[in-house]
Amino acid sequence: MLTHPKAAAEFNKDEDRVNWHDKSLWFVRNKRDLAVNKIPQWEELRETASQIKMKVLSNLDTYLEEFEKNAKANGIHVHWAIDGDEHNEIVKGILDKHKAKKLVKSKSMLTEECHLNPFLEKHGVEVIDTDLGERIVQLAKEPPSHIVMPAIHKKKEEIDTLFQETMGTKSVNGDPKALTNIAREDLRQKFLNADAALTGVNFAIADTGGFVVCTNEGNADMGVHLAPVHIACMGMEKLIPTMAHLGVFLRLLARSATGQSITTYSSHFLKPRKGQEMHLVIVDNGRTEQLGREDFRNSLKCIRCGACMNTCPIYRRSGGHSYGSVVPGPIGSILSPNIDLKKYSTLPFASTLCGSCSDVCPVKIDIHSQLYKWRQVIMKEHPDKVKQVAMKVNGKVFKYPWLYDILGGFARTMLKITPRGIVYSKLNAWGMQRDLPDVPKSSFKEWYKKNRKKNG
Amino acid sequence: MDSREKILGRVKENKPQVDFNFDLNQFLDIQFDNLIESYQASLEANGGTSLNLPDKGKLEGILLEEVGDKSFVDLTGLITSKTSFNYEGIDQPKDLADVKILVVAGKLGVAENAAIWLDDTILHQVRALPFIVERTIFILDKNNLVPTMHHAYQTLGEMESGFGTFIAGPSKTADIEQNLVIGAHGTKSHLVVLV
Repeated sequence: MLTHPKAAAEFNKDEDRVNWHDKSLWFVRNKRDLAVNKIPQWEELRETASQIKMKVLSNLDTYLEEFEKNAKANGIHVHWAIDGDEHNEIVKGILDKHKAKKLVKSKSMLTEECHLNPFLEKHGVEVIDTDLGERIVQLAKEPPSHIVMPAIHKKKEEIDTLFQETMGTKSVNGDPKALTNIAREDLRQKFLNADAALTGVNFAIADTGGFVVCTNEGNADMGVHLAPVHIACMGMEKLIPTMAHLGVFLRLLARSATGQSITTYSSHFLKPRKGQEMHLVIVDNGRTEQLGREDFRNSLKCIRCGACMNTCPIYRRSGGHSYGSVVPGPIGSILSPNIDLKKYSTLPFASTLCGSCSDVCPVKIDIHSQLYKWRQVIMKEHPDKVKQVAMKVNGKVFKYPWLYDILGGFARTMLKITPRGIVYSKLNAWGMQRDLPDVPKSSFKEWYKKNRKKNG
Repeated sequence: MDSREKILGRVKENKPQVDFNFDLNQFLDIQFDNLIESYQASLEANGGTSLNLPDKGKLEGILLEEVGDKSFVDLTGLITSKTSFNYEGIDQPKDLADVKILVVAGKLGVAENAAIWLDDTILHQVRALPFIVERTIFILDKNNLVPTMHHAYQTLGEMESGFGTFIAGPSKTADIEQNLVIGAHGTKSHLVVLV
């Protein structure tokens, strides 16, 4: 896997595409601002959501037990998975029991995290992603590049070509409406003939044992209301105490994600329909460990709106794929090191620490502070030898003012007389895309002595 | 030890001991000058359309015109001079695939986002209906409009049926270069008749 800086450099080779990507995401960020500014008490809503999630994390064991008890009483089969592998085996077991070979899925970042699709395909299950963006990246054999808009990196002409190659359709000159309609017609047949449907879970409600799934396309509902089996997969942190708390989260989610006042469909599942079987898989996969990390546990409050990605200057200019993690962007950069510190060691550095992510986060996760804290953990566990030596030398120089004066004078002279090719060599990472300022004639200290003495 | 016990054990060990403090009642104070106008504006932003009827007299006529000669299911009983598709005899929800229009009465509507609540009772347990049709026509009593989602959940109280959903407009997607397209997998058009 490429490190973030290397993958980002690849993405930046095509400057027009970077600018286009940047603008697309900023457009969504602007829509968010318009929606947010329209309603009073936005800050109170964020604070309340953050506090509700804190209450949940502080009592997660009792809420999980309460949720399980109520869900079972409602006729839902509840399963527990310690990791991604166990999650995948559970889903396969349910499908096997029903001899289900065709599975329609709505968006679930959790199943991406567990790599469910390749696992099921290996065992002969046809897995169809039904969210349009996810369907596009599935046909292109790519991972999603954004958690809300999985195909945001693709241009419409590329999608047209992709449909022609994979579905044998005719060109529609990249017309979004025509392309959407092609996918609609194709997926409608898949919905009608599916053996089972799988969804994610946006919110699970402890005191009813029910759960809520939000979509704009209606794909989750089309899947589950037609199929004889509904499997819902959730990270254990998705719980909220009661239905009344949904008022807070449903007001925050869509406004933060896309600038809509609410998603088109917010479906509340409490019991299976007559003749249907409903399963719920609760997944840990590293979450209990994150819960124990005081500095990082707030990341478990995340409701997966994607606002931090849309606003991030690094995400917008490096693309979701450059992160190499299931969840990209600022939130992905604080979640992923918990899963594999070494593999994702460059992600906390993919930030200017400007803090915009924390400002837009609907549940007030201190994302940029956590990025900074991960950097400290990473430097301790995987030190960068070059930087360590450099910092030691710097320390010595600043300790002795006479040494600083001599070296300053030396640097000013050398920068003036050294050929450009040597100053801007590969060693000077800072100077790759910019020039150093002109070298001053004297140091500030020398200037001050001369001028202030003269002027009294 | 099975995974359930392991997970719960780890949570008990690792969960934080921190204070939290919040008050949901602060959000119930908000008032809208005109609930109907706010509702209609929200709906328009979502890609839906609305009719504000002064009385119920013309309702059936309007519905008959909307339905035309298309296959429909009327869950309101308002259409008396035409026969609704008989969903009661069907074996599987996919047998509804050819129904084009659903006429249904919403339990309540939310002014801030145009969402309408439907549940199993209203849908006669046929959950697929509002999603599989091409057009939904909602009848909504103006007295059942509430300002925000907080008021909506307060009004709904405990969930009485096995399934319920807020529907706020026609299905849509912007997954292709952020271009808004109405009519993704669910309905292609969405009309709310306020009575």
